[in-house]
Amino acid sequence: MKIFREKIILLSIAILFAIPFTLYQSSRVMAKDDATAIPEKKLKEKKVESIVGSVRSFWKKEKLFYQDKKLDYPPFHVPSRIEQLDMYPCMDCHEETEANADKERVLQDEHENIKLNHGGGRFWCTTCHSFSNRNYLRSFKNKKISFNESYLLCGQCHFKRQKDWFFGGHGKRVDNWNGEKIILLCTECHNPHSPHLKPVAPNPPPEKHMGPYHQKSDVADQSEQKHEESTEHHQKKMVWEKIESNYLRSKRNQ
Amino acid sequence: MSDQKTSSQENKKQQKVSRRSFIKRFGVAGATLAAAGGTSTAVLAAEAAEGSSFGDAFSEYFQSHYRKMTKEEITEALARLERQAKREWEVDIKIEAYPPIDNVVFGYALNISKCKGYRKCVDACKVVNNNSRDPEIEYIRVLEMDTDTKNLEDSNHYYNPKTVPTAGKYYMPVACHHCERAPCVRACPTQATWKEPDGIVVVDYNWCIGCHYCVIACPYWARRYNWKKPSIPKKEINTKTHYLSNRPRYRGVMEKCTFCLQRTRKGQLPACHEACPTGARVFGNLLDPKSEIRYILENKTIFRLKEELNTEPKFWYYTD
Repeated sequence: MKIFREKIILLSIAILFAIPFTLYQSSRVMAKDDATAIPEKKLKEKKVESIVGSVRSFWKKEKLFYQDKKLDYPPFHVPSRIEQLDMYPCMDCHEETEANADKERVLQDEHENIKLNHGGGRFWCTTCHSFSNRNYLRSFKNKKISFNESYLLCGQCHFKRQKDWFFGGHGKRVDNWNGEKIILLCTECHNPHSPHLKPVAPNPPPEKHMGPYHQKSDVADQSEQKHEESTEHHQKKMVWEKIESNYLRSKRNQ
Repeated sequence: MSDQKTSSQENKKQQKVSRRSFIKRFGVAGATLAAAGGTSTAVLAAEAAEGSSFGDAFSEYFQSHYRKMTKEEITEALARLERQAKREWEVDIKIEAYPPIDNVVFGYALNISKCKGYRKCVDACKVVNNNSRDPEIEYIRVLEMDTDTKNLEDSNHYYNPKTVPTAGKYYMPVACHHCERAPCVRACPTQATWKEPDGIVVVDYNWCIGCHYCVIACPYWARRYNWKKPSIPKKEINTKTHYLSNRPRYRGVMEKCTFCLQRTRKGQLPACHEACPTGARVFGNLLDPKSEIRYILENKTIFRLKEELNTEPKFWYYTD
């Protein structure tokens, strides 16, 4: 009888522990996608999505993001871009010149230094520049965008970057961290005609403190050697990791 | 009668012995005091000979801990330090001690997708903070890591290719992370380093004894030591300084990144933030829910270095 009573007690304790454990596990399964903290509004939307369709594809995520049209971004200022443009106002020349509607033409008379390397050949000048009034840029719906608001133009395609830029995850804030928010426009860093940033020479590395008997020449040789060593080491590591992954794959297939 | 005589003689002997011993003790004590006084005056005289007047050396020797000084004492100390700096560096340096801003705890984030390893932040920091040029002290260390690893031991911070970024590498600048549970603060035997209310871990260069306990404690290798008297070209000395951050230092004291507290407590951005050409750095107030740093912590993929050590650093790394 004693043994029986002890068994009952143990069983009841086990059940008492099992209930919250299973509940916790099930809640974990539901919240598996929320790896980072997400604002409450989005959480609610996500729960609705999970009831309607359990497969959360990448496309659905994009749609959810794009529906978030009303962004409460904090107000900001940008330094004027128009003041940096040498040849502004553009209509000084373009009012008199004829508008050439040919695509893919090479600029010969003026603006020869501009090479369009943006869009993979799908863009030409009037994709972004207003055809009727060259003092402005244009949106896809042919609305005028000032040069000082170029983020509205860039944000039509690069909307994720634009959201990050509004809130501080992309781009550069200048002058202060509290008070009037001044952030740099897209074109301060990215050349709109060829936006890819080119590699630049770095500033010199830190000094190596190797004791009182080293020469300056040793430092230069050492850094070069280290560079060679690191590429060799990297190559060896890649080879070894390939071997390792093949081995693991063969083990899995067994 | 004879008993009285002998007793009186004994008393006299005792008195003689006690007086003699008393004079002996007094003489020894006096000699030690004189020696001690002599050594301290010798120290002060040596300091005076180096470049400060005797009065300044005296008050420096007896200066109290920064956190215990009253406002008047601090202003006196600042005036004295400015005089000493003028004698040593021959430049008019302004040292101030403005307090932290209320309801502010600083946080910093760095986008490793954007950092290309230019090292512009390193040089800007050196100039603004009056760091020694020879021997070279740089607070920020930019680690070049392979893209497939997060192992800091495989990193290389002496990289010097012709152009940067190198393919297959990513760059991670590391400086003091100003941990909430800073091991260096707990390790310091003299309490020369502490965490200010705005989250910045500071060093009092007049209180540090250079024992290197903080170097051993810091898991991020953020501490730098002045093995020699720092040397800065006269024209490059930044004259707007703060007692706790970028005033000219001495031989034998520890220093480290201070989140440019002489700038950030006035609302400006740190030097590394201003210098970064890619805009990879984000600085702000962690207590303000609308700040950029909070947006990054809530919406981006973030990590901190050596999180398993529970130091709670206030420097996050994030990717696009």
